[in-house]
Amino acid sequence: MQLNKFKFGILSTIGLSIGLVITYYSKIQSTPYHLVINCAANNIANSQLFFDIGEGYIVRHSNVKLVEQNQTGELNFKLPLKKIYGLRFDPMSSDGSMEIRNITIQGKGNANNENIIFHKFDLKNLLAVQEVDLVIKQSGNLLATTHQGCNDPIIELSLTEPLDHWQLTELLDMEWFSKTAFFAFLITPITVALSLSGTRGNEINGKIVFKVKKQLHTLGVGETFRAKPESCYQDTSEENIRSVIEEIKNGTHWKKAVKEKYKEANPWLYEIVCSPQRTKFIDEYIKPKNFQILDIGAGWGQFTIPLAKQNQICSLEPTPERLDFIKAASKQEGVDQNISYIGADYFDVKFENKFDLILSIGVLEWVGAFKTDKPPEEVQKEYLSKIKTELKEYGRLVIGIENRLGLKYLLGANDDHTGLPNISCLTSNLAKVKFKQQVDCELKCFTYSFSEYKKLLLKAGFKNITFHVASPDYKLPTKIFPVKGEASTFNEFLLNNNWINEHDGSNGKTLLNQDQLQSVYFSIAEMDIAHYFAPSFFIEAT
Amino acid sequence: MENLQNQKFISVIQASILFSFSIYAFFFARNIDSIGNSLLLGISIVALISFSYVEFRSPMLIGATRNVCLFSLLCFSTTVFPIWTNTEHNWSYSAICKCILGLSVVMLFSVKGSNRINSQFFWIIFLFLCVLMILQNFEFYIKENLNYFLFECSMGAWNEKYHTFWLVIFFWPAMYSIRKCFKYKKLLLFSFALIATLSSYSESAKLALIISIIIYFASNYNPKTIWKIIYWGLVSYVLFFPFLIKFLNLSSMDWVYDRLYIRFLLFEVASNAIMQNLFIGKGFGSTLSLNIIQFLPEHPSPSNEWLESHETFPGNHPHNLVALVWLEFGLIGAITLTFFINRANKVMIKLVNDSDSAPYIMSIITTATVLFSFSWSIWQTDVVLTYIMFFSCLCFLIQTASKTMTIDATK
Repeated sequence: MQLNKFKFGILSTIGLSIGLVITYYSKIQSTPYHLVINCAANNIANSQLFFDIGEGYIVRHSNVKLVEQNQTGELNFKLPLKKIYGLRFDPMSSDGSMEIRNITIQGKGNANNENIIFHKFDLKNLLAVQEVDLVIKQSGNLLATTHQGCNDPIIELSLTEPLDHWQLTELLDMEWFSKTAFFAFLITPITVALSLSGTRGNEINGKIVFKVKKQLHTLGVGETFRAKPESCYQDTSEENIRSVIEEIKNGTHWKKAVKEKYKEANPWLYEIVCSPQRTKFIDEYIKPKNFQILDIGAGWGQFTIPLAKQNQICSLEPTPERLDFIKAASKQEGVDQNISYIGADYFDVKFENKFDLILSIGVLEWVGAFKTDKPPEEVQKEYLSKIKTELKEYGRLVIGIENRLGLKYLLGANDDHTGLPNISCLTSNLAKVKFKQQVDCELKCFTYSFSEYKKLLLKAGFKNITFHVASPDYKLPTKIFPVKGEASTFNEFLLNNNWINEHDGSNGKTLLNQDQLQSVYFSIAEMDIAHYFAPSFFIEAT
Repeated sequence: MENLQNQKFISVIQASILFSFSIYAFFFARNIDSIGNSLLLGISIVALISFSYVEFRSPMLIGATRNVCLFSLLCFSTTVFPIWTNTEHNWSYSAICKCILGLSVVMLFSVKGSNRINSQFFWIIFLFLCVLMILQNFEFYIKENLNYFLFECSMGAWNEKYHTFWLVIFFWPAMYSIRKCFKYKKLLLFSFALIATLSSYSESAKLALIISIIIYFASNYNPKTIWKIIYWGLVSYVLFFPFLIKFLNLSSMDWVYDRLYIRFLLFEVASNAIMQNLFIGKGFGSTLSLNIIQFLPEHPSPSNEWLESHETFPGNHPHNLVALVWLEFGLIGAITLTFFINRANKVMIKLVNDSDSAPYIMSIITTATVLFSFSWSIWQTDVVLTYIMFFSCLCFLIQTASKTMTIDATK
């Protein structure tokens, strides 16, 4: 939880400005200045008070009050908060007489909100202007009698000097201060909350803050942090990658350098590294813009580099030479200033930042392989739980992974990771036994089925999980089919006799049993369940 | 992505309606049908226009439409069949129209919106309303000043009650929208809602807020049991209302707080009147002109005399929605209302264990039950607008809960 000081400053200024205006006007409202006439009339009529604020006596600047018959009471005329040059009083709109006891100007004058008298008119000084006779009675009261058939009887309330009670300084009393303080007390937590809600971790200064072995590190864009991971994934020798990096540094375009190195020697790797199809899912379904993205197991930067054009990426890749490759290629693409590079095991890094999007493409199945102290399945659960804690409130995790119940695996295709058939499609316990029997070592790499992934993600705390079928696989998807509820367009696609050749995920070679695959797929598509047997998935979880 | 755009669009419209209603509730609501009608028509049109732009597939639509049809049919029957002799025809037609217009607004909130936008807008709108209320309640004279400059704001106890009711209803979706945010934000919203409500005039709203907060915490602890208690409590309350009131002999409790005692008297008057036409009631709208003198309890009290001077119910309604249903539709109405509660139960049974919105749903239902048990039992437009906004908030919460359920169903 961080405070955006700039936003806080702006919001506080706006809040306080509004506050000053509100308190000023509320103070005006609570500081009523009234002309109070204590009187009794012998007839029901309207009384009207005109005030000259420099524009003469006009109806707009007047107040009308009803006078009850034979009732002694106070006529209370609210006065404007302006300098008043003169006052005129029309006692009655009809024939009759009014006995006036006193005329005062009153207002709220102390902290107890009691009215005090600012000015008391001398009744003897009142002047009959027209259609009214004024007589001072023995009691000292003034009797105003309007002429018969009068139209507009007027009494002038003489002022020796203009009335001007309403200086701004008068408003600056305890009430004003207490109201302003109350408003500030009210508005400050709101501005704090608004500033907090807008805070987006690494957006503040473009820095990634994280801990490795309890030590805090801050990484700016274009900067690199390296820790020495215990072990890491490698799909080609370090020498080969180093030579490609050298080529790039010498000015060869990175794609050309990879092509020259692998097009013939390892065409599958070349395709995986260079094909634009690799990011098809992100391009079509996520379309991130101005996101904070963490690319876990960034590999050759297949996602990091294209996404860095419009987003800020933290590229985490434990294999040192691959991280160097990403740096070199991203620099060549001119996006290195949008990338922070971390060379460490994801479990060793505790991010203080939160991300809008975390990518785990071809990583989940491997995470258990490099931890020897815990069962791989346990490590996979921990991995997903850790990701959940490092996502923003509505941040998304995207996983690209094989389906252990993919039809091709059930029909004997080699597993993409072990290169062995008929093992990965089994439940983990049996798969471990079979693998041990065949190669005499522990199976550490696990994939799961549609429902198992869902369970795994729900256990990790994800609430919304969306699946997409990736055909022929997530590594180089030709077509992606969303799964909605229990249905997927993958079934329709197959039922319309469309077909995408499936390949061996470990080497990219087209499988020989395409007819067999298509035939079984067609049958299960008729039951609307082909997507459960798709070769691999993109999974979106929030 | 188009779907995402739709969600954003829906969320913006939802937020606009919430904002408009909040402004209306605070500044303008004054128990005059003409002003309320304009707002109802306006927001219904906005809702209908929105549906024409987005792909609208809500499973709640069919259920809600059926419920409105059932209610309308019942109202219509009381206007057609001569067994209901006291039906107010114009009142019935206008109430049905309001329900149909309101349906479009409620349905808008049953469409999935963008969580991000909801979490950004809902709490700000809510906080804005809280701030306005606090400022007004603490003598900042917001309305008086606006009267001086721009608008003719409505003031007085009724308006204050109106926007306080809305505040305590809106509290739950607002809290839900920020459930995953910082604790600070939740605390802020909670504190402001508490200050705004406690400093206001309406005691029903204060009571509703306190009870619903208790329900919220209890349902977080054991949602299944709490929902069972709420459900069976509601069913018993609806089905046995007149008998319960008779049994409790509320008019003898003249030691209670005066404003509460008046409510007790009103309930007893209603209960006495219900007994006259227990099975079919007196017809839709009949309560408006029901002469209550013959139904006044015998227990002497100044409040009794005060009621006697009114001749009809003060405000022309019995200050209890269940009492109103019993008065106008009798046992038939009570059974229909129980049927609606049962429908809600079917939805809730699926949600109570698996959805994080279940405690919020239970709390908002509790809030409405308390509010509508002490006031707001009339088909006047401003009141209907409160019903509409309550159901909108409820639909919003259920819709988000159902979304979670779809995922959990695959467990």
